[in-house]
Amino acid sequence: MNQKKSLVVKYLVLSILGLIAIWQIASGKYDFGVGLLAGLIIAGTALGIKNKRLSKMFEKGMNPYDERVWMIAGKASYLSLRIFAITCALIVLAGSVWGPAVQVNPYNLLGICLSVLMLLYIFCYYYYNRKM
Amino acid sequence: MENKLKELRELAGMTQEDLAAQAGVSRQTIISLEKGKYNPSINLAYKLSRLFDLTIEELFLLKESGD
Repeated sequence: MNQKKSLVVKYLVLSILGLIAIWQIASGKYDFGVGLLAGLIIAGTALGIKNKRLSKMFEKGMNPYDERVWMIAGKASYLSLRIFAITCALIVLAGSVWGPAVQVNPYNLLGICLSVLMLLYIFCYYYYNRKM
Repeated sequence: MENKLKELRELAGMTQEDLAAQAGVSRQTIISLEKGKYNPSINLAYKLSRLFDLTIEELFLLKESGD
């Protein structure tokens, strides 16, 4: 997929999520709807700035997704997945031994897990970016 | 791995951005290469050495430690 097509898909996803946010606000779920809308505005702005920067680099003949970036991304993915898996295993182990009964919303839990994994990846990416 | 990238680039009167554009990589990759923090792939090493009309061995020097 080239850069233009990928950009269209990204903005399409943002638009669909925007419609969901508006629908949620209209149906009374203000917290979720406003949160989603705020996140979309921030993500859309960041995406716009990033694409402007990337376009300038491509125009000059540079490749922002060169071999170094792929190597860093690969290493960061591996390290973040390892940390995440070990942490999950320890939590499961501790939970199985002491077993405190916790009631959680599965969607919230999945969202938290996803956020933790993304944050771990970002930290690992910056770590390798400074190192390499 | 050590290299003569910085001195050759400066000798050729090129900026890091110019070299990055000619090699088809990002400026950050050139910075990392010049600092010796990143070892390039054989493709990139070949491309860079061709830009300076050198062989890979003339541009990149393998240290005794072998990294």
